[in-house]
Amino acid sequence: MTFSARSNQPISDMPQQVSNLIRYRIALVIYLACCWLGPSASVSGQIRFENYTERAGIDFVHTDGSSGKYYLVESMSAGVALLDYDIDGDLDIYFLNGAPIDSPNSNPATNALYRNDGGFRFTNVTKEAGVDNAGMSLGVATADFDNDGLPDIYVNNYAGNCFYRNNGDGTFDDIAKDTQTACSDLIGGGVCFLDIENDGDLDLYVANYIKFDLENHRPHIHKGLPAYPSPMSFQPEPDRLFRNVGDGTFEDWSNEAGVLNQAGRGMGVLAFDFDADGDQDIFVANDTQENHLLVNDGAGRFTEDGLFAGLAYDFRGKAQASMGVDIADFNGDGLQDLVVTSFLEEFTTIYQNQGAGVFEDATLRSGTGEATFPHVTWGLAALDADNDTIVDLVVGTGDLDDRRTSRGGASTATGFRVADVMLRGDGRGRFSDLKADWGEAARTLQSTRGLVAGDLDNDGRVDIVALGARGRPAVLRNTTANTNNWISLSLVGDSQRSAIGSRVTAVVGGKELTRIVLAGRSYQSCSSQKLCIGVGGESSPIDVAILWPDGSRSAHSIATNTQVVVLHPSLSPPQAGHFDSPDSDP
Amino acid sequence: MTEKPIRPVIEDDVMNTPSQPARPGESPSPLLRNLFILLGLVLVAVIGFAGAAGWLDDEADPPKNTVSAPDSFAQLETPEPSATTAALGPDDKLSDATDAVRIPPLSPIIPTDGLAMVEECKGVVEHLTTSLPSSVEAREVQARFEFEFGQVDEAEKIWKTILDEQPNFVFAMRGLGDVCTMKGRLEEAVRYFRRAVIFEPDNLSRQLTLGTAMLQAGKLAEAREVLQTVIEKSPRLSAAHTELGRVESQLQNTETAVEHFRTAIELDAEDSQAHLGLATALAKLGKRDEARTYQQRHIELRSEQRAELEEGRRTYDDAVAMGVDIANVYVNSARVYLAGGLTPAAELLLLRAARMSPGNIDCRQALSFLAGQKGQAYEAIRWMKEVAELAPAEFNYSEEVARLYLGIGQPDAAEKTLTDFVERNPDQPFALRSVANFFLEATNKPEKAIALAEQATAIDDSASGHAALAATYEKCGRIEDAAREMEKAAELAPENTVYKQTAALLRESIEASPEENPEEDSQDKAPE
Repeated sequence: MTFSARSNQPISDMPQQVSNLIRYRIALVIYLACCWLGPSASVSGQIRFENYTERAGIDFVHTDGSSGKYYLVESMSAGVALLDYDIDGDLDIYFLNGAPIDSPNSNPATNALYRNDGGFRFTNVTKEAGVDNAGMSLGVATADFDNDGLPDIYVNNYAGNCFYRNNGDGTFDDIAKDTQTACSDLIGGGVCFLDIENDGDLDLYVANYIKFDLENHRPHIHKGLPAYPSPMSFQPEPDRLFRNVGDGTFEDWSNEAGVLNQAGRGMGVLAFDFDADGDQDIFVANDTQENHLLVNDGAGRFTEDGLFAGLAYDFRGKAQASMGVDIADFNGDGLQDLVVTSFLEEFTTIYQNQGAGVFEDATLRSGTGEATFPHVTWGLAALDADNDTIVDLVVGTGDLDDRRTSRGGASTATGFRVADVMLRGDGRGRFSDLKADWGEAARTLQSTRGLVAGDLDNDGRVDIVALGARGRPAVLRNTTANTNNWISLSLVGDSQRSAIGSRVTAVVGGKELTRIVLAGRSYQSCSSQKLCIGVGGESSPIDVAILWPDGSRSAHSIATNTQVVVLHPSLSPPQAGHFDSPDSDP
Repeated sequence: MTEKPIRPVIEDDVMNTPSQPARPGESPSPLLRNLFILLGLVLVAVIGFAGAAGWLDDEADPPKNTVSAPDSFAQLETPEPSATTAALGPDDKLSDATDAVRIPPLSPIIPTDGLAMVEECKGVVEHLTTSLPSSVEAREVQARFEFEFGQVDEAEKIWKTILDEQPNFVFAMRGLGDVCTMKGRLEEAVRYFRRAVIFEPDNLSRQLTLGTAMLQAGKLAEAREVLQTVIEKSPRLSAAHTELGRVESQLQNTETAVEHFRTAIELDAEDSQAHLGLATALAKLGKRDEARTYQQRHIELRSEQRAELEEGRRTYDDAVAMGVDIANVYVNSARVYLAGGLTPAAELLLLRAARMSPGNIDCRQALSFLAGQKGQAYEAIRWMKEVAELAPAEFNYSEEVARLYLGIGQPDAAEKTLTDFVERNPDQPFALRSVANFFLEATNKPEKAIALAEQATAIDDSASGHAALAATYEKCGRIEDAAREMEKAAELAPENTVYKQTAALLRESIEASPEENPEEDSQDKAPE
């Protein structure tokens, strides 16, 4: 694989963008040839995921830097990201890793970037890519912040974040200090990119967790055994919002944005237009306190309104220990609903979108309760696992208490290492627990934290990557066998190349299937911005409407079982019924 | 009298169904307390210084089965170590081999770390079940121990076995409900909680638990039915209104939900959950301005609660917390030992519980009772005084201390106990009237009695309050005042014919003997 030297031209330089696009297209065409070379099916009609970690060549091992002192931050572990860093048309994996926080580490574990070589094989390219941060990494988001057509990576760490700018030659530079986004004295959480004032530059929301330093750590004992202290033992830390100035630098916009007024123990974050007023709002899943919904006034100033939006608490009025977050239209009403993971004896909560920025806890109606109630739940992904047009839900589980089984009063219903939960949607907002019946994945025991979904082998079936705390990740290949069709889209925006915040609606049999382009979701993780949409038995071209972040609209007709790159209308001649396919040039 | 809103006791409270087996399980303290109160009352009756009649004795003789009165109050503060106390000491020698078998295996020194406490407690529970193999209560203690400190699966197994043998054993049903909830088997939990409620139809706390379990399991219509029943039985239970508000919200009956949240707030102005529910429901109805008001109040209340919670987290001490929890197991075990006739074992565990948990009322109350039973009046007083100190706003404990003092012929100490209480708690009309009665009947100090009775009525301006004051006046011979107060009572409660008739009788009495000395007059009047 070859890379051109990094361009010195301005980021708005169109020829450079188009050049990248062409390379992207060529790569996609190559991969389309491999589309149907996936693994053979096991059981027809059943959702199946097999553990391909070993076979994929993923040898990553996560450490949380456990010191035996039970620093709370160790229990958080980390997220994971999917991105196509080398623009070759397939998704690469970036795993975050931990580190001891109280002592220098002579042989540090590092974050790890695995390049997708195709055929569900990966190669560790961490060193050469220069993304081998050895700190205690917690959250990650990827997007093209400088609009050069290359995805960059922001890593939210314990005391000192990294901002990896993609050089386009397979390497990255850490520009956190240069951009003053390092947050050197803060304990991070989730992170997301969004355009707060719709100026075409991606801004950066960095969640923080607690005020903590080694001096205020107090060893905690529970039922006679060392344990992690409650987050409530520590004061929450306000998050930070960095505004992209547009010249490659950022300014700390936290105060102006009103973010500093809201101290929360932030974990998962997700930016979306919750109140449908045309700008990006921010949801922050807070641990052991009410969630925050920061409502944007359109100019990058925010007001916290989680309670009135119905997102602050669960239906019991309980402030949950919220962990991860995702959005999808679970009940087929065209509105994006929210799902939030939480702690033991709390629900993975479904907040149903009622419209106009109001949500209602619909967990009881959703049937997600019994499956998730006994577990600590973390990363999650709303995905159409079997391409039947209905959104399913995979929920990562795993106790943070590694001594629970030794501690008195332990239930065998959960544990430090347990299988994740797959919930099959019915399209009307209800889910059924597949329990042990979703393939080898259901027998894969780990302590999941970050979890993302994306089509790793370009076969149209969404795969899953789950980062396991203190151990190997699970790279779960979707082997679901059916005749359902799909489409896959990658959007290229105009001034904002990643097209974060775009709304893509496919119409299948009169039913609208909507997906949002996000850069930050799940538990401190970031899925691919490539959208996979299952279209069921529909084989004729699918009508797709796109609402771009700048308010532009475009309509496309996309052949099933193809991957396409869709350009912003300003980048391609407007045509009625125009659709992009891998075979058409930009 | 101002009726305070009743807060639900989710864990455990009084078991109301007499046909049910006694509860030695997870949180049996209230039951045990009731048992001991019951036994204490019996004892008090036997030794003849309980009740109103006792107060009437100007100088109650020490009961025959108590030790001699101490020479001074100070002597009470430092009682001689009893045989029971000595039984806990590190140099203790068991009297014989039989006792050795009967005494649970406690280490001479109280463990200071949680694991050692659990290990010791496990030995005690094993001893309990071995000593009383046919006792289902002993196995209940064992199951609850496993649930809290051992293996939940084991607890489930024990409770299931108990239910197989005794299908009506309500505590096993509740235990299994807890297990199922923990394991996420929410519908199964509802089945167990529902079954338990069948056997405790009047226990509102249980019904509230059932309602909550049904809500969590998504059985909304059933939850509504259960919570409506709770409210019918106890309309002032704010928590039930709040929970029903939540259910109605889930059922999309937002208007009805608003009504329940409003009622809950009327009953308990500091119910943050009701404020939250109301704010959310009003917002849903589009009444955002009003919703903001309740939202703001919710935030204030919540921040206070959160501050307390966070402070609790920061100051959490596992050894202390474990001591408290294990002490509860020991108290429960003691109760079962007592029922099995193994009093020394029970006493030993109660003493250990008292040491491990300085705030445990149940064990001290029980120790007071046992000391009294053995004729160790000073020790009984000492334990009961500790109880009274632990619950300084609970009049019945101070009252019990006073009764014990009277029982050994120390009316001054009794008076001091009671006057100290009402000075500390000047806003408890019931206590003020009880102490007024004490002054009338035990120490013959009518002025003090009247002052306290008037103080009580100033707080409690109800018909019954005035009637009670009238009775005090009458006992003190102030018939005119008595008539006036009784007339006020009759005015406030015109439907109460007794007040009216009594007021008339008092007036007749005044008119019949207008010249008589009120003091002499009072001698002929029987108390109401």
